[in-house]
Amino acid sequence: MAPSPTLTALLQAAVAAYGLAWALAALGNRWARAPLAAGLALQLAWTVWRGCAIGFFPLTNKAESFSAGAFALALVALVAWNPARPFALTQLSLAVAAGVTAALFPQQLDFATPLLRTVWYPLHVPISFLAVSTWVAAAAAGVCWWADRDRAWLARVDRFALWGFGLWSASMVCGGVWGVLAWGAYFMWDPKIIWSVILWFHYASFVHLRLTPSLQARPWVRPALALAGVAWVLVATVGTSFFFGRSSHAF
Amino acid sequence: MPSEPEPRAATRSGRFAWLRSEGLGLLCGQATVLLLGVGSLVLARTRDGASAEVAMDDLTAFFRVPSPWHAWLYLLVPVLGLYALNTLLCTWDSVLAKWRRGVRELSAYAPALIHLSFLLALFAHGVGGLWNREGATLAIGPVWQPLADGRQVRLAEARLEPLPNSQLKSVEARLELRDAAGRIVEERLGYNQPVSSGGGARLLLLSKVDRAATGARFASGSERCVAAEGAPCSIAGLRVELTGLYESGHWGQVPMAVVHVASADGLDDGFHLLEGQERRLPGRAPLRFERLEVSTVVVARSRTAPGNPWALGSAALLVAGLALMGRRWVRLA
Repeated sequence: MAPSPTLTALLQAAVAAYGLAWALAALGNRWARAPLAAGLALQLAWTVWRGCAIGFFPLTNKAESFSAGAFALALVALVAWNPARPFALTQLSLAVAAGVTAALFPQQLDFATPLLRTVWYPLHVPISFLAVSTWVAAAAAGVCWWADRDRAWLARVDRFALWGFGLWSASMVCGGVWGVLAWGAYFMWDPKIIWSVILWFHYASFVHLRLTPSLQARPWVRPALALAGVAWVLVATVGTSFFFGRSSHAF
Repeated sequence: MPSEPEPRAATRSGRFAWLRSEGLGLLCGQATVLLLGVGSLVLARTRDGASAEVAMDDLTAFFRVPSPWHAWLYLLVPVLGLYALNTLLCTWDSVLAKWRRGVRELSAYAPALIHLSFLLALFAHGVGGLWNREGATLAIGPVWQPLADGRQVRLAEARLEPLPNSQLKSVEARLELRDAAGRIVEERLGYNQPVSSGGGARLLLLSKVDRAATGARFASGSERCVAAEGAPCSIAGLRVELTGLYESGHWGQVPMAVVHVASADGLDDGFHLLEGQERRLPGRAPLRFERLEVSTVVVARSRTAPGNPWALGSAALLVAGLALMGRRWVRLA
């Protein structure tokens, strides 16, 4: 189904609002949060509209997947708002990039296939996007630590990494249960699933870093691994969708 | 999931202290990341070659046909073994130290639950990877047919809900399963709704809904009956058993039925009939193969997955551990 022009314009307006938030944050303007919140409201309207049109949670194609990613990134940026430029700009850059990508993909409305029609799907995917966005916030805090060496950023890196780990674990449980119900297996040798496990192991190690005595004198390790984590996140989310060939995860 | 740092000086001494060190855990975690990352690339690169037989969650294919391409997995096994041992020892030390200090808050033991969940997940992967098996694919129609476990199954009803664009939205199939004693139980089968037993260890999963030949309709004089493979019918004093049924395109342009007929007066004969063809039988009206009976069938695959119940237990422990974390989510040690 072709979407109405108004629907398409909603996403474009949301992305423009994120862009404005990025520009204001870059200028150090304290009103940067306003367009960010407006962008979220617009994107929420876009999502609800599409959901009503197809009668299900709108996560059926690449436009909707990237849009959900942009929404989660913007939401975490708003909730965890900090005016420090590297922190806000790191998150907003990725939100804008995901939003622009969503807007560039075909905007057609697709009905959810029968296998997607389970409660585990709208739990698994949005929770995983929230986890990823929280890890981006951890990396953004790491960038701030590199900039000013304030130990308060290290505490933020730890906290965001832990929250992301908790969310990712919950997402993997939902995905695993769905996998058993749909395919009879909670794990498969599939690129996206392997990379999901990689992310879990990376951050499972990460949350133990601050407790490791031999690393107490090396505070740079956590920001560095938080940044590496975002690189793995990009491989897991974008890389496996485009560069690893066949996958049970179409998006 | 981090435990509080514990005064483990007493347990850190000795030749095997390195086995319970946080450093080893970190090393194993990052080695796992590296090896799985390499593995994902190798599997994508060799999908039509060395990894062609690797399917679902199977581990045996990596060892059945050993290949240098799979070195990452051969290395991963000991790394994960070491990781499991390290996790077990660290968790034991941590729990013991807390208990001896008189710590009785449940949240203090949340990380231990998450560690146990990890160990159980590794065990589930091992069990599942080695012993999970794909079973037969069945086209279940209205006629009883045997299952691998000795029971019989048939489709009692299939409700198909279409989308506005005529694609399938949902399927709910009502299956009847009959055991050797003739007891019948009903099960529902649909997408994301397998017939499951043993905590997910034995599954019947819906692949698709189709139309298929499920029987043959016979006529003799004014009488009619429908026979299917394994389900004979009676007509004009004859017992008609269908021993083979071939749709058009298999033997020719016309469907063919292979039948065996028997009667109380001594008739016992076997022959084949093309659709529309009839066979003269001594002392009675001819038997005619009127048409193929085509009905809705649900195509389902059976799967034995002994790792699934362990993975379910692991997931439950993980969720319990995360839920019990409480204030630890906000106040890091």
